[in-house]
Amino acid sequence: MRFCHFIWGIVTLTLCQGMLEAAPVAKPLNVSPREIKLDSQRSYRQLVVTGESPQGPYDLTRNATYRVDNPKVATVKDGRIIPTGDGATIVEVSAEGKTAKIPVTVANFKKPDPVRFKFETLATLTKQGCATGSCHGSPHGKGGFSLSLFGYDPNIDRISLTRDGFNRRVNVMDPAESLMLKKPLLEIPHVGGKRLRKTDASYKILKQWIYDGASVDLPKVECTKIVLTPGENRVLQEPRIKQQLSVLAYYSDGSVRDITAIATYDTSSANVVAVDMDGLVTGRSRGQAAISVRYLDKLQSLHFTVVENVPGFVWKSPAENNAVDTLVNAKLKQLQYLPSETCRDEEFLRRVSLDLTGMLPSPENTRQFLQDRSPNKRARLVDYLLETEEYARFQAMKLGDLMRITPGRLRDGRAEGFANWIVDSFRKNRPYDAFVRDILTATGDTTETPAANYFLAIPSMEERTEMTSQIFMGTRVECAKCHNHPFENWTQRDYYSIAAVFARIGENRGEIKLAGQGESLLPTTKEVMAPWGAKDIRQPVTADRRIGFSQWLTNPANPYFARVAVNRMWAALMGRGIVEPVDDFRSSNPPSNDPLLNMLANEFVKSGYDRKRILRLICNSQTYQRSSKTNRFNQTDDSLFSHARVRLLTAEQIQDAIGVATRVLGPPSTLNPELERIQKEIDARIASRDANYAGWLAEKEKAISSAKPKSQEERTKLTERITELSNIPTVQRSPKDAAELHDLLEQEVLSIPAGKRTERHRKTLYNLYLNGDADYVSLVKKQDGLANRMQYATQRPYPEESRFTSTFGQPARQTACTCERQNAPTLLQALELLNGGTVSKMTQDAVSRYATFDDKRMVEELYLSGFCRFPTSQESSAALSYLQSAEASVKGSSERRIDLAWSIINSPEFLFQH
Amino acid sequence: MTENFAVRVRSAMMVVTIVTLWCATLASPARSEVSFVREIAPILLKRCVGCHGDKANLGGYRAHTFQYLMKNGASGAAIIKPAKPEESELYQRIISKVESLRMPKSDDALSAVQVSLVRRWIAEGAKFDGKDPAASLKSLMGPREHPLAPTVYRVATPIMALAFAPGGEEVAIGGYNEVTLWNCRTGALRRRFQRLPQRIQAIAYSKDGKSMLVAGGVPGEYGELSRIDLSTGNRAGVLDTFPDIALSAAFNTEGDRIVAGAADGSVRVYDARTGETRWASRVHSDWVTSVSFSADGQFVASASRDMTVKVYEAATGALYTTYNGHSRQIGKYQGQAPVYAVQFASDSPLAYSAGGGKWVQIWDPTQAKAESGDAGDMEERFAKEGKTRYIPTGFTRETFALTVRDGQVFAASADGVVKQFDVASLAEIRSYKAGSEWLYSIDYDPVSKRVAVGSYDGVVYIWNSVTGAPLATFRAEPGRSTVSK
Repeated sequence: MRFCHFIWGIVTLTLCQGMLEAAPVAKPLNVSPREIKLDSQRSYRQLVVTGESPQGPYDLTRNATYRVDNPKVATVKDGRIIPTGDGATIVEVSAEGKTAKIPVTVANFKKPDPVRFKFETLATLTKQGCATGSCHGSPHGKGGFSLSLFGYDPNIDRISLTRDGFNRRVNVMDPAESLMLKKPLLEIPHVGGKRLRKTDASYKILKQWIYDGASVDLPKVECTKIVLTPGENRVLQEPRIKQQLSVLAYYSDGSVRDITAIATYDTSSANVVAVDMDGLVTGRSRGQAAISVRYLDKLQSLHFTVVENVPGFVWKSPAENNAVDTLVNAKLKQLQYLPSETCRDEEFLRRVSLDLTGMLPSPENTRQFLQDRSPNKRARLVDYLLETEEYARFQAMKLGDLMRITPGRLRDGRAEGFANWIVDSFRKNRPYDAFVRDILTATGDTTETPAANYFLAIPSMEERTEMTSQIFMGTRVECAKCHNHPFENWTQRDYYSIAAVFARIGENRGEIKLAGQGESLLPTTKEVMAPWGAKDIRQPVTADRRIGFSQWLTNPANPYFARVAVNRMWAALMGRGIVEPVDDFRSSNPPSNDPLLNMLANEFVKSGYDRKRILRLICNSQTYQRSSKTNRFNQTDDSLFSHARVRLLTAEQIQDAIGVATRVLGPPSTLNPELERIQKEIDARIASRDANYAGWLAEKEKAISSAKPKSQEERTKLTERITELSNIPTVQRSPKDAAELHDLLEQEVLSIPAGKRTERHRKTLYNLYLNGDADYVSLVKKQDGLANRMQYATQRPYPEESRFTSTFGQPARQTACTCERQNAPTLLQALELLNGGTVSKMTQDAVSRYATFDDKRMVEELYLSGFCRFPTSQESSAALSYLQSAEASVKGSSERRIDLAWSIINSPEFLFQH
Repeated sequence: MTENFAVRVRSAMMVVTIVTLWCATLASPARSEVSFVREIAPILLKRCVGCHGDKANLGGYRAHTFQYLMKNGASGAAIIKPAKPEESELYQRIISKVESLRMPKSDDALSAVQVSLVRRWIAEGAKFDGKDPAASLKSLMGPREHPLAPTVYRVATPIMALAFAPGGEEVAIGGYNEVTLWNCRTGALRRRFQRLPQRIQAIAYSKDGKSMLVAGGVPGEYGELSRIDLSTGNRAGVLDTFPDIALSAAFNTEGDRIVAGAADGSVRVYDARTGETRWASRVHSDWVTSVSFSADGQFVASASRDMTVKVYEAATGALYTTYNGHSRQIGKYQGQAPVYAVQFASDSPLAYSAGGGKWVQIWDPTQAKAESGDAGDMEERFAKEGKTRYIPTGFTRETFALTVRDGQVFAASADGVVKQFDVASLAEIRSYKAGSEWLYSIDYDPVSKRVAVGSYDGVVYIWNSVTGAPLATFRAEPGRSTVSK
């Protein structure tokens, strides 16, 4: 094999020379860098040689030939220039008939060049995997040997390696005898296995470091950045599937070093691209992946697209509706996937209704849509749905999950208040940036300023830091609380700097206010951190630090805000984010279609953060409207959106869908007449009660005046008890407690002499009077329930605590992570659908709800409401023959109807979105 | 074509190899049988036991004892068929050309010499020439021969062991493959006892001053307890070896018993005259860092990184009690820390222990046993402080070494500071600043009343403990004279 390569090399060389002679003015070869200065014995420089093709640049580093004028100055191995002595020379690089001459100078070759602990030793420990969290990189490092995670604390590592354990780990007299080398070499048993080879650059560095005395200087110098070559994402097009990387580290003292050999390389998907210890990337199979390069606390990623030629693939130029399709198709074409056909009308109707409103359309709406022959009916449907109340409520519900809106956390109507405030923002399509600023800068009484409940729901500074970052920046910063983030450039400083934004938010009896004091301290140094987004830490104590932060966040140039928001919208519609998970944006987790994400984000910013505009853009695309049926050329696609994703409806969607199919839930539009009717009843009730108010009040006054006046002590006790009872969330208050509270409040107000009562007191008294009437209370409760759409799981301000929805993965609203919603199918779900209480009750109710329909009509209505389509004649006759079966059977006709509803609900076509 | 070519080249090479091996066999017909213990076990230890041992057993196969070596792994393939190397899985795996099959996996192959040794050993019947086929391969190996120490020390070597020669005029220092002897006043090198274990962790003079006990080894692989005959300066005998470095050794007051502790967690007691092992115990779950006999010879105490001190009946090795004062979680003196030093007083039944915590703790083994009680009163036991007395050291880092004599306790710390306390009043008498480096070893001479410590950077500091005056400071590195006063 090697022999053959050798011959091939000669042939190439000869060809190249031939071409050179024929075309003496060929363009010079693209070699980076153009000039090299090496100033120590151990320094080196990795070249990157790049060729150009119409498909883009490609790597030639390992294909090029290298000739050094003076081998006493330098040699070349795999494109790496290695010094051999002081002097100057030229390295001639040739490939594909082009050449480049790279001047190389070497100085200080004979000068001692000790290994730098902080910048070399620690980097190699990370590179070899020693300093990872699962091995030695934690306070409970394996085998009693602990290092800092990825070398973030050189002092810990200094002690562990040299002084701790009775100097067990290094042997400066005979470096090869060091435990820290013999273990990873597996010369003696090592639970972590083979981690080092004597041929590794790391071995040489570690051995040299020990030889030099295992000495540790911790200079004040820091690494300021790392720079990769190539600097931009690359396509590896078969057969050119390799790419050599080169990595430079820049230090705060102005020095720059090639660290290609000691940087740590990781791939986000080893099936797609692999990377070796020397930074040589190799495409493995078609797809996209990120290669992350870590050096100490710095991390940079490059994204690679590997293109293979798929036999028989022909691009068919499918129709494009808008820019979404252009960008999605460009990616599909490049990676050789063929998109699916356009979905049918009924599929589209069902899909878009569920996505935008959470609910199935009513059979009436389905009929109307299917019968509509106008060419733009899909676009009109999108427009229609975006204007519905269901849209606003369903979207608000999803946001409410992340903002942890629960009546337990936000008491006494605050949960409803906050949720309704969010609903209203969707209803009015409030620009998203303004909406977020409203939330992040809200202060005041949370019963009057609903947005301020955001801070009431997340009480601690740390949680506010983490949740705000996760929701609005798609970033999981919590790792950086204790150490620099392992997979991203978020440092501990950044974390506490964001925390500083929330350091001065106080809360008192449900009121969010500026505390005027409070700082966020860096745990390691106790340094007071400047709030993120502000340039100057010396802000006046009265200043609201959140203003600077939210201005930074919602600035059009912010790298996260718009991208995270549009990605969440995309994921909600497509079943997968362009970045997935949607709240884990980092350079090592690349978007599956970066231009698409950029375009959507730009559109979002340009439109003034118009959420409906983005939803409309996506819904109207061919991409959204593709069938879930795959073809030969897109079966394996999971991330490029060549076909619709089949997914289980969410917990809330299933519950409401069953309600709609069984006619237990009417279309929410029918609520309005009902609400109007109840309002009239309430008005009438109030009017009748008003007539008796004066008499009631007089009686109460009489009773109180004849009673013994309360002592100071008794009054204090009264107030305390009232506070105690009020602190129980309304939903959890027992009827007995509620009655006691009512009574105590009455006593409290009445004990104030009539002349001294304020308007508020009088109002309270009047309300107590009204609420003393059971009929009135039940009417109001009913009205509240209807207005808040409590019976619709997709429309409620906060989740009902039901076994059904929690079985289907409804989150308990404990975290800001979308991952709290469980998508994985479970056995319990199957049981719940087969014979759970919810399904059995609703299917039984279906009998009465469908009572006025004959069998044929019932079948049709069931299909229309459950599947958004008419039954085929075959389905229809099968269903009818079951319903009307003349055979002797224990089941009566209503049981048969229950069975039919049950079988619709239990069919995949019903349970899945497709 | 390429494939065929490669295959042909490979076959040709194989023929050459086989022929070479065959010739080699022919060339030395009078060779004796391969010794498992001397020739095969070292290969297994270095190249196989890492993955197939008592800690990891990949493929369900272990090879850390002869018995295990002969037992098939999970695949069931015949691992070693005596006299039939070609049918032995072990042989097939070390010569396999398939990378995923060849052992050692993802590592360099065994050398041709090693492969032929293994082949011959199996062909000759895969015989065991050791004592106990169930013993670990490591223990079969016996004491190692050690090289000469470096003539000149290129770099400093941390001083883990240090002992005054009787009278306090000379001090013995643990070096690299040697113990060196220095004049306490001048810092001049007097003698070198060579061909000793790589690292020296403990030095103790015998009562008669004629020999010296040395504990040490190679971290992670070998421990040794041996005696130096001071008249010849040679290693006079190896009392024992350990699977990991021996960290501590001491005589009893009578001088007729020796105790040693090692990083494998073991504590062993020997008859000083015959060298026989009296008992061995392995009740610690981490390194044994320090051992000591009580003044009356009743007890042995061992300190460990597992945060406990164990006390044994010296005669039998039976565990007497466990002192948990270094891992308290309730009560006034909280904290959990490894214990690096334990020393019995020479004139009382009290034990002194210290380590990663903030105190030197003084306790009586019999009281400690009473306080240990049973599991039922756990909470109560933790809540009370017990009879332990605490001397706050004021160190910011670990205390590695203690010495208790003449009603005083001396503690040496990683801060580079030594402190002298009065045992009766617990008051600090004096504080000595050595350097900025970690101090690992300490000794006190009751005749000269000198105290000496050894540091990470190879420097020895000696003071007069009565006046507090420094006597000498020198770098104990042969070949590099750096005496200063």
